[in-house]
Amino acid sequence: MKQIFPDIKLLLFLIFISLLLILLDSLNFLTLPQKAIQTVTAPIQYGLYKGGKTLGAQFEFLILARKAAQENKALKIQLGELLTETANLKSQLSETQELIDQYNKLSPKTFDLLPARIIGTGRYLIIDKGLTDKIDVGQTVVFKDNYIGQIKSSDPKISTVLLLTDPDSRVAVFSQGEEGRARGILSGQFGSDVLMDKILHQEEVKIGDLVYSEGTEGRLPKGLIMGRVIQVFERENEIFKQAKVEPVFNVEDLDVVFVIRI
Amino acid sequence: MIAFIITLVCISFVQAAFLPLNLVLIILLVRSFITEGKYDLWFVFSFGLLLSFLSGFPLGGLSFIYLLLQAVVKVVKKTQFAQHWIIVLPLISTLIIFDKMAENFMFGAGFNLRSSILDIILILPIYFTVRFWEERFIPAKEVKLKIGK
Repeated sequence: MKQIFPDIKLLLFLIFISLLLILLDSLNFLTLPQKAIQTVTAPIQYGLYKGGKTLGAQFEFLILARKAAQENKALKIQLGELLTETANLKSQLSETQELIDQYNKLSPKTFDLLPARIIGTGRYLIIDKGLTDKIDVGQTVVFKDNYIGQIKSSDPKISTVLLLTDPDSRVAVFSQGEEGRARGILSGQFGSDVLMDKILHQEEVKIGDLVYSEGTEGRLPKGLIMGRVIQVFERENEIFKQAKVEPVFNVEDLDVVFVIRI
Repeated sequence: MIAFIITLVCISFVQAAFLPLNLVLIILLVRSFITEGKYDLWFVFSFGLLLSFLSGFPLGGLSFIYLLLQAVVKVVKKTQFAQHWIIVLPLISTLIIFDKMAENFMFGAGFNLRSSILDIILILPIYFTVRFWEERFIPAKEVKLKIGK
């Protein structure tokens, strides 16, 4: 025992003192000296308490700021996702509306219409439907009852469309106005112009007349709107008249077109 | 020694004011485990008394608990398995839990598990700090060789 506790007497003495202090304190005999000492220690403790509280508030602020930054980041991501979702919904709504308009113009009972998204424009229009969707060369691409072009080539997943304005485009058309009708060949020019050529002199064509497809190309239905006459070229010594035609729709403004699968 | 006492007094005030940790007890027990000072009992008694006073516990209450806990440390220290320093972790962890339970039982102090876990995490850093302090800053006893007649 002595080896383990060399100061066993001191230990027992201090334990006794501790117990005595507990007893005296519980009987309120130590209140006066306690109060006397507290006059010194209380201000120190108060200062430390206030300092600790301020320090704690600073740490809390840092933690809150960090949490707020994380929340802000998460909210920004969420906002981005919501904006994307809204944009997708708007796009889908627009496509659905266009589909309804299309079916109102060209009856799905008569024409097998396949909606296709435009995924690129240049000289040719590129759409996201191809051979796997039964798209074939020569099929007509329309928007509502307006002619857009013809399928030029088709890959499994995408197809290119020869536009009306392309120099390689040749379509038999007729113009219809109040004073009569005129037949001709609509051919694309360099740029966005389309020229209606080979119009006989005796046939009437006026500015503002609508130009329709003749339907002699096989897969091209008759009566699709090709554009509007904006200028007429007429010379006495030439056999044929010419008219400058402007397409009703700008292809670059469209999101969806329809392929007539005949 | 004076620096050690001043540090402990400061820590006592901070602990009583706003720090919900048992740093004073850990330092005293760790020091008892490391060294064999003749003032260990007085330290434990005095700082127990100071903390009782500052924390509003009945005077002598913490002194009584601390003295018993230090006695346990002294007993364990003499055993064979206490030669390795790692024993300080389970030993003092157990004693801290015991201290919390005793304070809860004797004075109705709440048992805060989170602060107890923090206390346990701090045991090893405090152990190495006190050991470093004792080895580097406390002069060792002069070795006197007995030369036979």
